[in-house]
Amino acid sequence: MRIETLRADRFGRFHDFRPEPFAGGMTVIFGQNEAGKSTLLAFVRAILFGFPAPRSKENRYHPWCGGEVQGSLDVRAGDGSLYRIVRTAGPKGGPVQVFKEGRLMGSKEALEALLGPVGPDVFRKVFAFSLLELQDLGTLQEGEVREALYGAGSGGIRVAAVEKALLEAAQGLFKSGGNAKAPLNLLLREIDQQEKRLEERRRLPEHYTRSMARVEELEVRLADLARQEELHLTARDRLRALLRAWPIHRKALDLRAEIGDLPRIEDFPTDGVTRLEALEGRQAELERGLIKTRRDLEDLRERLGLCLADPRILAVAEPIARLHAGRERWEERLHRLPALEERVRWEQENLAREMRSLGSAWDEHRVRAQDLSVGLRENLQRGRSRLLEAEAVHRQMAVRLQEADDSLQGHVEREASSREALIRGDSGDPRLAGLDPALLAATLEACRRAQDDAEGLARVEEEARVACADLPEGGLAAVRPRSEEVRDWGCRLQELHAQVQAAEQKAALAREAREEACPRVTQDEAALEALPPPWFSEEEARARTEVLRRARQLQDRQRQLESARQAAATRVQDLGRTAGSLPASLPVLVALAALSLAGYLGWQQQSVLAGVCLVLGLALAGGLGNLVRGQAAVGSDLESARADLTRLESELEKVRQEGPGALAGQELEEAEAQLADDAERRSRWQATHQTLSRARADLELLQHKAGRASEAADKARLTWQEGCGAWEAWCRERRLPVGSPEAQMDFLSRLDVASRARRQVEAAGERLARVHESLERGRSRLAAPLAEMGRALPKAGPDLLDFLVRLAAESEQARRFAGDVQDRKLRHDQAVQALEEARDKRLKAAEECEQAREALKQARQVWTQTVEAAGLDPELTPDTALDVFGRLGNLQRGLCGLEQLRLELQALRQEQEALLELARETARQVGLGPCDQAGWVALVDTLVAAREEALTNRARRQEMERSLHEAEEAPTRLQLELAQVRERRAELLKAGGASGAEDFRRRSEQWVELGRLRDELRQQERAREALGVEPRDLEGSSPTDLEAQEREQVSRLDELQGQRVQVAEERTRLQVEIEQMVRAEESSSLAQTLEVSRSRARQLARSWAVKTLAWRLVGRARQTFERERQPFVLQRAAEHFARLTAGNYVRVYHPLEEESQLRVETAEGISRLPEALSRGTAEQLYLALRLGFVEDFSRERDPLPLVMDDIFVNFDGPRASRALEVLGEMARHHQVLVFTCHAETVQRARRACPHVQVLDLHEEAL
Amino acid sequence: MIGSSRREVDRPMNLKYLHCADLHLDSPFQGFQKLEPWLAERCRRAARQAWQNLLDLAETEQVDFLLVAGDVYDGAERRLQAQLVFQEGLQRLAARGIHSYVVHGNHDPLDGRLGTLRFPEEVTIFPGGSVSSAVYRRDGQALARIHGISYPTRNPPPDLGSGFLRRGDEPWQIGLFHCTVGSHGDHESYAPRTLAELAASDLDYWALGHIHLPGVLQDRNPTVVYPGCLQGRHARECGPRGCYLVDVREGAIERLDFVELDDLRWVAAEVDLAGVESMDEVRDRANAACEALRGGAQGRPLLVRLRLAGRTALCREIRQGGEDLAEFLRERHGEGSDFVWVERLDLAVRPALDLEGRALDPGLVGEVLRQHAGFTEQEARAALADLWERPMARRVLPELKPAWLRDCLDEALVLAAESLEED
Repeated sequence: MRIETLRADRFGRFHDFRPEPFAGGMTVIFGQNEAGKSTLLAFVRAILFGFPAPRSKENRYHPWCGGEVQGSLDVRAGDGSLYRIVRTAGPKGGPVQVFKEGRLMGSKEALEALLGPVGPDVFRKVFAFSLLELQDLGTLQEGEVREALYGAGSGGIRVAAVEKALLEAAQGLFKSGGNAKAPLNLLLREIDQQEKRLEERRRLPEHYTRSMARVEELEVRLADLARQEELHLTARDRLRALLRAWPIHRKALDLRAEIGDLPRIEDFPTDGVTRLEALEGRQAELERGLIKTRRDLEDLRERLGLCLADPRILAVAEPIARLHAGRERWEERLHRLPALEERVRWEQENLAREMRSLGSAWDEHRVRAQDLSVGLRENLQRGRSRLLEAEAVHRQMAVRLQEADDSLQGHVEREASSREALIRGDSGDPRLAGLDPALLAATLEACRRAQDDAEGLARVEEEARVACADLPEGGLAAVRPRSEEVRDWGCRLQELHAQVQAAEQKAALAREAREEACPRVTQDEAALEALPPPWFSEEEARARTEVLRRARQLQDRQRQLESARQAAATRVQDLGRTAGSLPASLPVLVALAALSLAGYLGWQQQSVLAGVCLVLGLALAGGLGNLVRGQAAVGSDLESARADLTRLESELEKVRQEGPGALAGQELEEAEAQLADDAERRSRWQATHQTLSRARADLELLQHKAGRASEAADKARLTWQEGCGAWEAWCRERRLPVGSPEAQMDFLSRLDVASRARRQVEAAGERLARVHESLERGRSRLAAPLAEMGRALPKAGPDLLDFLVRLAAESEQARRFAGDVQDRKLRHDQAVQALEEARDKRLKAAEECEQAREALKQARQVWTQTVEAAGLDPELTPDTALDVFGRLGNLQRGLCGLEQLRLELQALRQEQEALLELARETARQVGLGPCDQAGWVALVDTLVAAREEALTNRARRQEMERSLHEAEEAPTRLQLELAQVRERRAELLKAGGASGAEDFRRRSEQWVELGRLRDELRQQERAREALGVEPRDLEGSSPTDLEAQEREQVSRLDELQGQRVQVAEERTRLQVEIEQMVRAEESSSLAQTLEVSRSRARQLARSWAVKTLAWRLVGRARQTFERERQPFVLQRAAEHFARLTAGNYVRVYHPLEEESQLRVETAEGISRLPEALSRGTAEQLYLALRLGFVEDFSRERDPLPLVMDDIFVNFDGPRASRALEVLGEMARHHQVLVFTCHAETVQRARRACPHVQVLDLHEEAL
Repeated sequence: MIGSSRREVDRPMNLKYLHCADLHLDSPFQGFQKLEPWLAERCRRAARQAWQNLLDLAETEQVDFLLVAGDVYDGAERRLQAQLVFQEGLQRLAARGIHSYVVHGNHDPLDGRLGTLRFPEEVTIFPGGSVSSAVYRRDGQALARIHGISYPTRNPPPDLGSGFLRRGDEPWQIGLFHCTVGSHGDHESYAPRTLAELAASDLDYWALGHIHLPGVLQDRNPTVVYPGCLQGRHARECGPRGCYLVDVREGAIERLDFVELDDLRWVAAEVDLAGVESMDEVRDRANAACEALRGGAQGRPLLVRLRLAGRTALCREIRQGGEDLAEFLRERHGEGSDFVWVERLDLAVRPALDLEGRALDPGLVGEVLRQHAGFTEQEARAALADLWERPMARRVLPELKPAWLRDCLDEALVLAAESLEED
């Protein structure tokens, strides 16, 4: 791959920079310092691998004139394809586009495909390097570079990247660190936890067994406790029963005593007193009843005599009863008979009227004789139905016949119409209808298009002619092949012109900036002049500052010493006063006196006083000792204080001697103030001076920039002029007109227009040709059928179009006509067929109508016969006959009803007569007068009343007779009962052992009391027995004893219950646990979870193992590859190095046992490390190594350009020449770009490589 | 008649019994990387359901007795619930008059954590130590003698159960033993025996346990049967699982039927993805495989390990999208009573590139191939030592066996080659 052209826009100093195209081979780019060589190198790197990131330490080459950085490289690949790589600034190196032969291929991926395995690092350190990279051998030993170099034969595989990816993939699964967060690490830890949890669950069976055994043990224990509890409970209950029985027992004893106090009564009549009182009451009542009965008997006999009944009435009681029963019927019939007579009369009149309405021939006799049987009625109805049906059929057939007539008439008219239409119509050439309409339409369309396209072609040709009117001779034919070149020229000239404008603009801007900077410098200089200078030089200021600091220290020390001296003097004075105030002689004298007095008194036998004096003396002697010791201590302190005072005074004297001297006090402060003022002055002066320096530097820089901008503008103008000259030469060479740039641009644009017009003409011509071809095919296919018709096709042109239009119309008309005739024929045939069908239908309808008429006639004959058979008038219509038949039925039913009414009336009259006769007979028997119909009711009432009275009296008498009989028996009965009562009373008194009623009552009360006491005693005994206690059980015990025993039992019971509850709770708890153990499925789930985790771990481990082994395989392959590839690289490097050093060094090698140590060997066989070489020689070694690497790399890849930025700085002349020779030889296969700022390098390059292209960057910039 | 008593049949003797083994009632399912809660519950209950199916069968067939040839529980620390389930089942059979004869195996030796569960008198659990026997009587008539021995510990001496010998006059004599007869792949060998040794004991039927794959080792003189496990627990236990129903008529085996009892069935299937050109096609083929499995399962739920194999250019995409594909298949087929649950997709697809043919390639891929060929087992172990030397990992992860290492190395080769090719 080689770079052909580049365009840098706003990249550092370059603004729309387009150097001369690189010729291939070796190109030396010459430029002085700051000409932009490094910028250009950085630009090439940036376009290929991206602009540096904002945070990158690399120079980002910000645009000097602002705007967005962009640029492009035109590179030609090994296969001859031309690529353009365009990149603009942006994130991640900036977006890039790759065009291949003007067509967009893609972005980053396309560029990577183009560059192959070479990354930015490799390119920087191996292919496009500066002196800085060259000097460092280490850059060749680093990751990507090393991999790219040693892997040059690997087909472009980035082994390290693959290796890294595999390692990362493996480490993504597992890391060897103890607390790594990789999935497998986590999973193994989790499995550990799960296993521990499961292990806990695995102890369940043992626990279950233990629990089960314990539960059984507890069950036994519970049963034992329950038994014990039962025993104690029984005992407690017995004690409680005895306790409860004790009061009962006591009460029973009392009751027995009470019973013993009462008289002994073995038995006594039950309810004796009540019975006695009842007998006495009954006795009195019987005595009273006897008296009353006798009185009532007399009264009854008297009333019987007064009650009598009439025997005559009683004799006719039954007839009277019948009359009484017929009384209501009598009255009802009296009212009913007239109404019945009226109704009979009305019915007779109605029937007579109805019979008259049937006709004079009808009378009651004929009506009664008329046969009205159901069969006759049904015959009539059937005859009527048949007749009506025949009439309906006849009417329907008549209607159908009429419809058939109408339809026939219509079809006759339609047939006539269609026949007439068939006869009508125009004729045409039927053969025209046979022409293919599609062919005709296509031909017509082709003809129209041919005409339109021909017009379009003429128009386009005219436009083209206008466009080419002022073009040079040869016109488009000459221009068209070169249009691309002309366009390129146009672009190039435009770019050059734009560069000129940009350079002038930059120069103007630089000048303006410089003009703006000049006043600032002047202003800063004036400000600096105006500032007062500092008092002291910097050294003086530092010395004075030190002196002042020392003086301030001494001053502080002096103050401290003086205050210490004053404190010491005060202390000496105080101690002196204390020592002086102690009287030493007085205590001594007092003590001596006391002791003397004690001796004297002892001698005088005054022992008590002598003792007192002795004690006093001894006390005074002790106090004297203490006083002496205190005085000695004060004296010691005083001495010490005096010594301190002396020391401080001497030290103070020293400090005074060394002290601030002349700078003391006010002077010192003034000196300090002066020093501070001096510092502030110096600070301001320095700041202003720095500002001035920066302004001067800026001005200088701006001046420099302005100069460079002017130079660049001049250079751009020169380039533009050169470009114009080249363009003119090119035009002249191709005999094209030459004009001003604007005219040239205009000419170029017109060339474009002309070229487009030409292309349009050609396109229109081609299109027209295709249309003509199509038209011709149509003409040839139409010609034969038209020739058969005797018609000829005109030539192409308007006549042909008109002919085709007419032909299409005629053909269409003929096709339409042919279609119409066909349709009319079809319709006429259909009409004829319909007419025939209508005629057939009419004939059929007429036959059916005649048949219906015959049927009607027969039906009428049958009907007449039926009516006559029924005895009716044969002239009657069916409906009238049926009506008459019905009315005759009604008349017959009316006559029957009338007969019944008459019979009823007769019966009523006979019954009335019978009742009247019975009344008369009865009246006669009882002796009443005769009776008529009007007096019947009153007579009956009288008889009935008499009968009632007689019957009542007879019943009352019978009753009184019965009562009298009974009353005559009552006194005897009462007397008998009275005797019985008296006897029973006497028996009762005897049974109670009483002599009389009073005694009986008293004994009765005693008996009741005795019974109550005995009942109560029995209750007490039952209660005692209910408690299960016998009297003997209570003997020998007392309630107090029993209570004590009961308390003891309760206590024991509580204890047992507590134990039982505890045991039961433990059992329940264990049972719950067992139940949980039995139901718990946790361990099963846990085991499953653990198994899943283990499977997952095994899977992850396998995956990790595969990745790790793959990583090892690739790593080992890479190492082997490096080992085996290295000799070729080093061999080539050794050859280059030998040539560069004129044979001084013959070998470059890399001992396998010392892989990191490259070595060279001199012609004398001396081995040296690179560090032992001179700088220049080492750089030549590194260059040789790179050339070797590049050659190895290029064996299997499209070689990349080799770009070097001033690498020969440390080469001596001959070695530089040899290096350029080597590079010149490499340039046969590689593009080599050498940047240099040394003219001699250019000269050497020209000598070493005659075909070298030399570009002056300065000129290029211009 | 596929087998008969070698004693002359003195009197007509009919027997019907079930022979099962390796219930592993408390064993979790293995191999799942992820388990939906509902499926976890289903798996958790599967072994017990299979046991219930066995009990139903015993009642339906009205068998005389049930033989359980060891490994009732999965671990020596057998879980309580499993023990209770087993106890309840045998109690249920005893209530119907069906006897049970049980020996313990290497997974549930007598010294394990066994709760003191009480069994009815119809249940005979053979002790360890030496071979003992129990007589089965029906209506007072001794019909069969069952000889058996339980494992006293997990690792008993190899001569355990050497005292099996015909004794007594019972016409049908059975050896109930948990042992290894012949070679059975990855099953550890316990109390190894040969068919000749078994034949020498002069018994009529050998009710064996320990090998999880059902099969009749010898159909007569004597009949030697492994019923296999009752419920497959992982993908290596594919296919039907259940017990043998033995019907002895007139002193000879008239029926020896394998009865399927498993609640969930493991199935392994392979999908050939050779030549697939799109992931849609991959999905369709896998889908079709699941459909076919479902169609052939006769309504039984399946746990499927699907192996995607074949050379394809989509190798990398398939590897990356394997879990998505599995999820898709689970969503598509994982519902209903006859669900087909893809437990795992074994991604055994290989790239389309011919690795073997590139061994002489001077490039990096060729170098990787050469390195792979020279990679020793020790080097592989050393490379994986970081993980495998951790105590926890050693406890959880599989042992680094040569075959496993070779598989990993092959897969690593593919991964490395793909990575280099892709770059």
